[in-house]
Amino acid sequence: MRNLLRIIVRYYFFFLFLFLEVVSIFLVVQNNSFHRGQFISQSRSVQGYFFETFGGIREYLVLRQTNQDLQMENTLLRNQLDGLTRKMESAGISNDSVPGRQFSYIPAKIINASINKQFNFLTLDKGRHHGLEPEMAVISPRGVVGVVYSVSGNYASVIPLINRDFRLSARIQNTGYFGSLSWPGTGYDQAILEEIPFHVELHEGDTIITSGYSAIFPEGIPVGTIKNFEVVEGNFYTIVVDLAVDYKTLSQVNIIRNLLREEQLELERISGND
Amino acid sequence: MIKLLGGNIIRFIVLVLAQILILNNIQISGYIVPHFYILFILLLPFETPRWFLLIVAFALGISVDLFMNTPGMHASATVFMAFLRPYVLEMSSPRDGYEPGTLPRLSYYGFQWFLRYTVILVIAHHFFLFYVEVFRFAEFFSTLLRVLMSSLFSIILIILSQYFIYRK
Repeated sequence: MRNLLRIIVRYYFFFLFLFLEVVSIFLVVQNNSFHRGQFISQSRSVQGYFFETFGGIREYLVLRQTNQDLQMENTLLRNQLDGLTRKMESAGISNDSVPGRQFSYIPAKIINASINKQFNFLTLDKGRHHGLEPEMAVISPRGVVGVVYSVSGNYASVIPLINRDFRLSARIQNTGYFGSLSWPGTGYDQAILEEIPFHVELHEGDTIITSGYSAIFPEGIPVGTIKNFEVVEGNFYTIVVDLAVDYKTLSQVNIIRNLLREEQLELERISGND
Repeated sequence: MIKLLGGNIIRFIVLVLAQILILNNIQISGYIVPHFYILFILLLPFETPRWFLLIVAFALGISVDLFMNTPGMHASATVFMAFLRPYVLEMSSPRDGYEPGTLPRLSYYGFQWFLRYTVILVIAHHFFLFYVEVFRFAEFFSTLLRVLMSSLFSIILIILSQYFIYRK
């Protein structure tokens, strides 16, 4: 400490110079939006590169889990396809043209994720150049992940379910009642479903799916299962939901583009039905 | 001493005003912006304590910044210049050092000495200033051209001022 002080006193001219320069540069960056923009865009591209490299390691670590999920989804899709083909055949429709497709899917990889904050975000390796836009739904083979919040050329940030600003219209699969799902900020594996009337019969383990009432998510994507429920006050349940998606091992996601979204929003705007 | 101090304060104010009221309105072809106010740092007495040099340079830069809405930009450049000044003086000192009672002016040490002293410090200042302004090295050569052109004009102005204002 004494030596340090001695050095500072001895080279005070240099240190004073350094100090004044730091103050000046700080003022420059702080007060000038052009410089701030430069600074931020420089650090963004460094961040993007870093997360992409680091995300590769993470992806490798959760490979087993990802494989399992993909296989599960494959099986499910194959079953559905089989069923549909048969139905179409029996109805006399040839399956070489699919009329009125509403959703298209864009695969993406998570390159950065926070799960231990109150306002968590995910970063994807796809951006505007790949057709992503804000307010697109993000799902994984297991269920709902979140909504695209902002996009840059090659990256996108996603508000996941585990962000306190996130609200989702969700439905209980076997009864059809729907409510509002939000995250209380307590743990990355649980959320709260509210606004389900207390007369509805619930069981632990019931599946919660998306309601399809927003223009973002298609209907019927798994959200989670009921862990427990109680009526705290008033006429509504407070339901604790175990989330279907495990944010800790999440790596591959799909972005859903709703091709008819504009049409739906336009209609709702005209009829004043928000 | 008091006279010296008073003279310097007046010079400070006059130079800052000249810079913001007159010189900043002169812009020749977008490349050349003369920065005359740094004459103040050039003319400070030899005996000025180093720390005072830095503080005064910072004050000078900030004063100009305040009027040009560029907080910190000129300050960083003037501080850099003031930091170099003692070394430049040392480097270009005459064989038997600077005589007490003299000032770093053309009238005391001659044209050649003053030109050399001015060129080094003005280019250092302009170099720092223009690169902080663009904040990147991508347009290195177009910025360098601006540095050199503006330096040339600043140096001409400073040398001329020595003949017109500070005659012995």
